[in-house]
Amino acid sequence: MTTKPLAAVVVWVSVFSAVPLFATQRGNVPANPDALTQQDFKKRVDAYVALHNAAVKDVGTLKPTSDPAEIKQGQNALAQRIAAARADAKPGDLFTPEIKTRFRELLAPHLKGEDGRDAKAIVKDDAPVAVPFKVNAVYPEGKSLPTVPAQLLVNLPTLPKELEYRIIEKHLILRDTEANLIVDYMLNAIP
Amino acid sequence: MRRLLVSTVLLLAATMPATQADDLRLPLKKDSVRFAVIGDTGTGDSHQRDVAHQLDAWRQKFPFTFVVMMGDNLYGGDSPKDYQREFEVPYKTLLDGGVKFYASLGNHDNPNERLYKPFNMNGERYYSFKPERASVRFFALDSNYIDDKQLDWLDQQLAESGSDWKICFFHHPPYSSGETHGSAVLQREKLEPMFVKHGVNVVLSGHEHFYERIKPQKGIQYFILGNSAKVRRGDLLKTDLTEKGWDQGYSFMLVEIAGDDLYFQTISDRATTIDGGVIHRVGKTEPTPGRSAQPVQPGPAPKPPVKP
Repeated sequence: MTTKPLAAVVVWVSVFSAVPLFATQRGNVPANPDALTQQDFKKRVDAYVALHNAAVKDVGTLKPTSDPAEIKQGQNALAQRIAAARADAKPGDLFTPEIKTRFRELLAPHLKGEDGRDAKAIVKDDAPVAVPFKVNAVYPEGKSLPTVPAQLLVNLPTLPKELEYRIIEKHLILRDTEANLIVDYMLNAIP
Repeated sequence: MRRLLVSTVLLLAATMPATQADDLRLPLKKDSVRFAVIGDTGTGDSHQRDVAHQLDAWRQKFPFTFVVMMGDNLYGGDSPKDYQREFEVPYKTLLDGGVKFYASLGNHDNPNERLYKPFNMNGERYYSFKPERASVRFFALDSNYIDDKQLDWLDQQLAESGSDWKICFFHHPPYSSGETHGSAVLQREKLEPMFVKHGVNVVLSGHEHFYERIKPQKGIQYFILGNSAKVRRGDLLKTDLTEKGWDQGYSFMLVEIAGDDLYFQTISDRATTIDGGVIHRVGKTEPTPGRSAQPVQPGPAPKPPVKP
């Protein structure tokens, strides 16, 4: 039965989500909160990727093909499978309040001065309208995917190939690149 | 009646795309690498088809074997019908003739286009390829999303490319005189040091809906060609960057590489030559870590080949 591995991953992710985030390292030694926050984000991303990969096993890997219909069908099947597997997902599952705060701190210095103006101009360039800020929503077909300024990107935690950041106006979304799903979002990520 | 006939002929001449490919200015040297450049193509409208028609016509005289695409390959969606209307139908003759297309991703492209075999991206958002028996390597980048992984990959790939011509292509132009977009400065800050370090010779991009040949920057020749289906008339500002620019119509470029020379000819959808010339590669051909590009020098437009 192909649903078992995915079910196991869902259980694991659910259990993981309940783990307190800011435990100290080794007893009473205070941990670096920044490092812990980023470590926490990485764990959450890893958990999502595990779920994604389990869904891929269920529906089949997207492979290069000459038939565009196959690409579309594969993308949609994967999106449906993932959305079903994380039907209880909610905003903030990956972008927790602590992670949001840290991300704003990472982005803010690069949005000042001339480079900052350039970065904001890039974000505005071809900014799509009517992108739903909703977990598990499909990124609207035919809408442009606004460029993420390289200066911002290299200052955020690197993501595995299954995920990417996109900035829509002032808001940051985490997008599943293969399933075209909005995995989580963070409103007002940039000033 | 005669006046009417003349008027009709003139009107037809003005409205129908010309099909003459009799102004070829490329030398057609033996064993040269021949390819075409198109950008921002995916409209599926008559302008895209006109340019495609010209590509077919010019290929009869200049038998290029592949086409590089500067992104925005599909506007407005990526359904099977979009692939058909905005790629398969316009370029059917070329595809049937065995011409290969190598795509890069624009901001209007779903990155899953990387899975579409006729785009020859091997399932990757960025990739490189080297035509058989050619001394040139191409690097297709995803300028929408330049993260550390892509930069590391590019650094390694360029370092391994030896003495080949190095041509990078991607959507956002590092230098541009466009009013709407302008230079993609933030991408340039990340990419240009790597281009210089590894001796990239030529950079091709789109995004701006016009043609512009930039004066060589740090020994690198930059071209913008984002008007193969869309044009933004009047968007090209007068700046010191421009060697040659054109924002009054639709175009594509033919390129021939022979030895240390790269010949180019940019042609409109009316078969008019917009620009042409040769870029000569000088200096060391091996990359020198931490130093030198292999500077390019623009030269005069070559004479048309001698007709037999």
